[in-house]
Amino acid sequence: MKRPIALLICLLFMGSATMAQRSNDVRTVSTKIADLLAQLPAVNANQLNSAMEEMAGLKEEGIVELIGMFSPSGTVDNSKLEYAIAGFAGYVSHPERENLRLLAVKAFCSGLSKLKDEKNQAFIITQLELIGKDDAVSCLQGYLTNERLCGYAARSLAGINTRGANEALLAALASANNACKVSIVEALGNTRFSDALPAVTSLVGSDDDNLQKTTLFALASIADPSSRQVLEHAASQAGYTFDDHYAVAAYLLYAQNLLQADKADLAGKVAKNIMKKSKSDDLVHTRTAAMTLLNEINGEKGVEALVKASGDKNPEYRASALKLASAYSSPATTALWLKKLNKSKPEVKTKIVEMLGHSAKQEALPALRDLLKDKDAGVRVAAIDAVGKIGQEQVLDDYLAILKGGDPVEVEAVKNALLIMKGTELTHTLAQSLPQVPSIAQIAIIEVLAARGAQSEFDSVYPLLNSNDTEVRKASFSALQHLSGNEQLSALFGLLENVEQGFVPDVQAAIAYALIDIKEKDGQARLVLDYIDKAPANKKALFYPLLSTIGSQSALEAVSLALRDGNTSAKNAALDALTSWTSVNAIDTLYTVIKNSGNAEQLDKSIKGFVRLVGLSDFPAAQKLLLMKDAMEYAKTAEQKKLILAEVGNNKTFSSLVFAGNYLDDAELQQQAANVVMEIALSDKSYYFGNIVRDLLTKTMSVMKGGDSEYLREAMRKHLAEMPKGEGFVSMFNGKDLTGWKGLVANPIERAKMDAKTLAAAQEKADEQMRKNWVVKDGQIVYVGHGGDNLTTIKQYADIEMLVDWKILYTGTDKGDAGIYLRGTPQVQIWDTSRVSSGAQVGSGGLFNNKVHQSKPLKVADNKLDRWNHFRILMNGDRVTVYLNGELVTDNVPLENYWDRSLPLFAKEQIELQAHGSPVAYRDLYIKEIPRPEPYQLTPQEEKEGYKILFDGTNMNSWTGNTIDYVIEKGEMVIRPKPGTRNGNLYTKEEYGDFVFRFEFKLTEGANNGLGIRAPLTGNAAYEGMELQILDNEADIYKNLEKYQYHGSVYGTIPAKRGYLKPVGEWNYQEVIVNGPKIKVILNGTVILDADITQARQHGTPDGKEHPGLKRDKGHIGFLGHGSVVYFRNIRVKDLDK
Amino acid sequence: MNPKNNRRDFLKKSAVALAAFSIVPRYVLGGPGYLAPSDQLTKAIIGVGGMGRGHIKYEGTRVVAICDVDKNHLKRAEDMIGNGVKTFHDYRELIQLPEVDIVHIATPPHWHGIMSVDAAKAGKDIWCEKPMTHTIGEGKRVKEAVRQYGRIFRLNTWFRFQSNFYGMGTPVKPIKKLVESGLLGWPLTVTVGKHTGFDWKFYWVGKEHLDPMPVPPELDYDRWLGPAQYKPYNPHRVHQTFRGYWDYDGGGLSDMGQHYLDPVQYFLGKDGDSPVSVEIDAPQQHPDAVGTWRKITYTYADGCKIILDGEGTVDNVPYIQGTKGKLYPGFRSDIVDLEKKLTEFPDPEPQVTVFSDAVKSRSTFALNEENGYRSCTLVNMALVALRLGRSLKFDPVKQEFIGDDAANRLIHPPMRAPYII
Repeated sequence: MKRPIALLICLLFMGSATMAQRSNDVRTVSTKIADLLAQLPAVNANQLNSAMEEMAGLKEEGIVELIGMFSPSGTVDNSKLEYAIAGFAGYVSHPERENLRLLAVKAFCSGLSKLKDEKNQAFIITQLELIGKDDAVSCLQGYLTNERLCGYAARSLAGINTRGANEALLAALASANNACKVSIVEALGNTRFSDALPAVTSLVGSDDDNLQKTTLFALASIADPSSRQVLEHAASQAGYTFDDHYAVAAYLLYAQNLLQADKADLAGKVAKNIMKKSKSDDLVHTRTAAMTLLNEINGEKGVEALVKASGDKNPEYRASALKLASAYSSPATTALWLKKLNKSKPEVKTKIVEMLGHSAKQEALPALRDLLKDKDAGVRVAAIDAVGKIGQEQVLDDYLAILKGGDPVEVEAVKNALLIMKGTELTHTLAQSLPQVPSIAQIAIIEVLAARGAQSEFDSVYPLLNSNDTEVRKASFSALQHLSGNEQLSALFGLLENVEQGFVPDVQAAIAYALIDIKEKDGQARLVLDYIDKAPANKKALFYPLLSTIGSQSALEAVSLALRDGNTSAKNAALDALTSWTSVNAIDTLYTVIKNSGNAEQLDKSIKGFVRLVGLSDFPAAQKLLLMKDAMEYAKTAEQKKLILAEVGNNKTFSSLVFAGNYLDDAELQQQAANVVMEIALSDKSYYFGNIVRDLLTKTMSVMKGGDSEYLREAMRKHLAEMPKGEGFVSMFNGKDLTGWKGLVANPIERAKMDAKTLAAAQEKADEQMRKNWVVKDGQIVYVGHGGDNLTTIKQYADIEMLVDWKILYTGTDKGDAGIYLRGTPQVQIWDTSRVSSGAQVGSGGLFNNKVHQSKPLKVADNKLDRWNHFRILMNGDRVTVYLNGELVTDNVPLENYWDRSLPLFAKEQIELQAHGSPVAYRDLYIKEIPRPEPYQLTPQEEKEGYKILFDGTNMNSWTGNTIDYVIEKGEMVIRPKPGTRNGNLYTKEEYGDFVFRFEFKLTEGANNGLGIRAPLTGNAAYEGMELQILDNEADIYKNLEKYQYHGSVYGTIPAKRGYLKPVGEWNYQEVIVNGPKIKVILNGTVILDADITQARQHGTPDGKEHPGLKRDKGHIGFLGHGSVVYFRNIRVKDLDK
Repeated sequence: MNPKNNRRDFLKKSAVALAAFSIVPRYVLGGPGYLAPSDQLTKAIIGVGGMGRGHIKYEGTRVVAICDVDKNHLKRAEDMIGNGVKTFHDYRELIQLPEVDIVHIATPPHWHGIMSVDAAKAGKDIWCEKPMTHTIGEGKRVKEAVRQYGRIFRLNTWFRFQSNFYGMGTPVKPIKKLVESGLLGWPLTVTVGKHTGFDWKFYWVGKEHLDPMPVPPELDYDRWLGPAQYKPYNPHRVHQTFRGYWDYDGGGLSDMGQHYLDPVQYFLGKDGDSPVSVEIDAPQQHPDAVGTWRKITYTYADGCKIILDGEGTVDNVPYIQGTKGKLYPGFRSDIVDLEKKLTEFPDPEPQVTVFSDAVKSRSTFALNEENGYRSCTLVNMALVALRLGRSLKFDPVKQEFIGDDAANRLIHPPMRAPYII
């Protein structure tokens, strides 16, 4: 499906590359522009670069012409032009393309001056913002006083930010109107252009709020010492609070910029001044900003101030001071903090401790350890946290002491610290202490041991399962699942049977965890099943949940057995196990449960389990869809149905799309269905087209809701607009009656012999028979007759893709047999694989009646009797490909003409659903016709002269050899070699001595093939017969060819004339006349070879090799593949010997 | 100008009570329902379109003011909240309200930087929706302002500390623990895309050609645009579809990028770092309308890579690929008994994950202006590469592109006056 597009892109790309390389390019500028625009938007970097090279080739005048093509906004779509201009700006902005950048700026400026529309002007100006330097200044500055464009121009000049650009901004300031002034002042602020200081300062105090704001900002940015008063005054007017003019912020920014400009003294003065003015609590953020600034000025020297600030009355301010302080970690600063600690109030102390812990200052450890005994609870907790972070396992003893003390808050803090503590000693030390600590600490320790998976400490925790303290017991039980291993299994199994109900899940989880140590799933299952066997009947149920995590076949069998034969509690436990099963082997069993489910809860669980497992499986999409259709049949709640639809959406096939589409009218399901339809349809533009897709998408657009729906609708509109033409898939069955179908009359050959009246009478009889044998029920076509009777389409089909679900209904006998006739010919086989005596064990989907070509499927992919199967059948020419339940079972095999094996397969005929005496059902039939040219016909002249067709586009009946890699596509014969193979030889079935051979061929880049003549079916035809080269001898890779290797040459023997091939991708017409020792090749009307091999027969060949084939007087004609793709069509031959 | 601020007194008191703990224990705050309404933090929401209205009800906070430039949005939110909530058209008035503790920014991304910085300057704590900022430069300014003014900032994505992580089927904590344990080896390659459960939402693209349309009366379009350059109005530019335009956002990459990438940055330990290069494989981008891309690769100085897989052409790709092991969605791994092996290692350090706790205790929130800036830079550096159509080198210390004038101009492009940052 993807191949032709890839090829097209490839060709496009090659096309543009050749264009760029053309040495004497005679195209006009407008042609060049059109060629360039046709390539945009580029699909990848290579194509972008080559397109931009072409754009550079347009030179200044070409680019100016291109800019001149912009239409006034709102009328015509300028997007191609925008791609070109912005793409070029991006391209030339690369640091190594300075020369092209110069060209671009020149051209953009010149183009800009000719544009009239503001939107287009703004677009070009914005591009100059990206690539302009001094060279763009003169063309931009004129726009600074244009009230609609001054903003764009000012920003572009600010982006350029050279002296020239800044001067242009400054020069325009005086004459600009207020709105433009704001833009210009902001730009001057951004560029910090100090020459602008007087002009900007003069604007201070404007009534225009915007101008006042940007003016203050610009002064702050330029940061000249002289601006201090102005800025201070503005801040003070605002009461040092945030205002519309951002006055305080500007004043702070000013100080910041002073600092950057090495004017730390003045910056410090400003910061201190702001600090003084913002003492009140509502200005704490401003005071903080000033403190931050001072801290930047003073660095480590300022820590003392931070120490002081950490005791400030405002907690927010204190917190900020400590955050700033955490950047300094010298012993000297730590000493300062430790000194401060002693004198601080508890809330301050706490924060300092936290900060010290956070910065992991080793030298603080002793002092912080002392604080573990502080009077204040908050300080103690902070100290616990801090000493752990700094000391890690060094402080274990301190922690143990706290645990023994048993204060709940402290124990909690110790636990939290232990959870993140590095090291390997702690678990054992903690476990050892368990008997000595109070309950509350026991719980904390058990939780830590569990979190660390301390399996070796199991024995220390085990006794606490019997603790008198309920909470300790709970903690111990829930820890088991992280502490258990192989050695504990027998103890745990024993425990499971005797433990009180509430702890059962804990013990089960512990066993499941311990079972992991047994590597083999079967071993795990054996062990559990063993215990089930031994357990008394009322205890068996305890073990089933273990089986669901094991998931082995033996476990599944045990659960199935319990479901069938167990007592109620065992049944329930088995069902629970099954619905939470972890491996995909339970899918069938779950389906059985769903089908027979007695109550809503059971159904709900089993459907959810089923959908989950199908999702986990690696079944093909088609198979998963069948299973979801099965589940949907039994689903009751909207939740279940939504789950099913979501899984359908994961399996992107046409059938899934249509299936989900059925639910677009259901209010509860329509959003889910809409998502599925959209995701599938949009996943492949080339495959999802036609009326069905169009209708479903249109409906989806109308029902879709939610935040993203506008984007989604847009994506769908786009998909619809770009959808390939054509009918796509259509339904073959309306679900209600047999419209479009008829009874079967004889076979195609006999039908052709009947006159209209006979045929009509026979048809009437056949239709009557059909109505007895075939019924429509529940949206299915079902065969209810006896003996054989095919249901056939009224329409005749040529090349197709067909989708159909089928099912052999189980009747107690093993007679199940059916099939699908293609082109009125048997058949794609359907049968009951248990019919071993008939060979049915090979599975369905083979071309049963083939004698020469493969008749058996490649693998067995059948579902069980009474379950649905899905065929995807593709037919190209006489080649058939079949996917059964998503598995490839027939791979491009010719279907032989069963009715007369000497004839090729009919080019067009009806499709038939076969019944072979046993009940069979079909549903969901869709077909897509693949357009192909009419079969080739000889000209009357050729007919008269006695030509015979060897390939007319519909079948390969005249051919033998590698019929696998030579395929039929759209009426053409194509060699598609498997990667890495070179032996693609296809021969005529018949032998020819003297003949005229006419055919057409199309080469791909560097392609190599050959026309074998008088060749045997085995051996190297170039030597054992003769090979007339078929070769793209213009390709670079062939530049060192010997002359006798050119296209048309008798390989290694006699050279042909070079230079008469059509370009790659175009059809060539060739005629080969072989008559005794004379060989003539006429290519596209020119004789390129007119040879006599008598000489070579006697005296050897230029390549110095043995060519025994020269002496043969007849043999097969063949195409000799060399690993590359070549197309052939319209092949015919005149046998001169007859 | 401002009356004395009573809320400050409350904050002062509660901050004292809470001062002891960087991780605030529940018992200090009380159990569920402990907070009386008067003790709740107060919040103002800027941008009450779909996103903003979704954020009205949060535990521990009370909405007292809202702002929107679309009268319909404002009215709908006002009706929802009731209780005399104050309504504003200009956010600068809203952030000057003394009774507001937290400003919640739920506008399109091109406003996030300006509003965050302004809120910091006005002394508010900030809750900002993802992506944190629209450009790298704005991110730097937010980071500086929040630090300078001593504010508490939360970026609102949460996977680094909460909830199952999309296709991983697991929270980030065990992944972080795994990475820190060294079991996977080093350096690591993380692939984020379809096969690892992450959907890049490529339908969030713009239209290349929009017909100019009249601005509806309820919308102040000029103020909606704010710092973005003026372009004629079309409904596709605003409200539910703004994500498709470079001026305001950057499609699925911009909107989902920080969601997916922030946790990756966290577990790779790159919260204070940036990549040294960003490589792109994409079709050419339109200068106005955001398009799609195939692959984006970030490389850190130590060899760690993050690959954004746009098309998902490679099947069965591990989420994390290390030198010693691989991790797949659902915490599956080629390391036998991984979960058992992993338990022996210590947990990652805890983080403050309740915003109101962070505000009251003046503690840094788990996802804040520093690490949020870094993860947003991941997104924004790729946007620059996409717009220029080429791969770029980055200096993680200076936090600018290396030797590339045009790319650096896109770090902090000038804003439309009078908007400054």
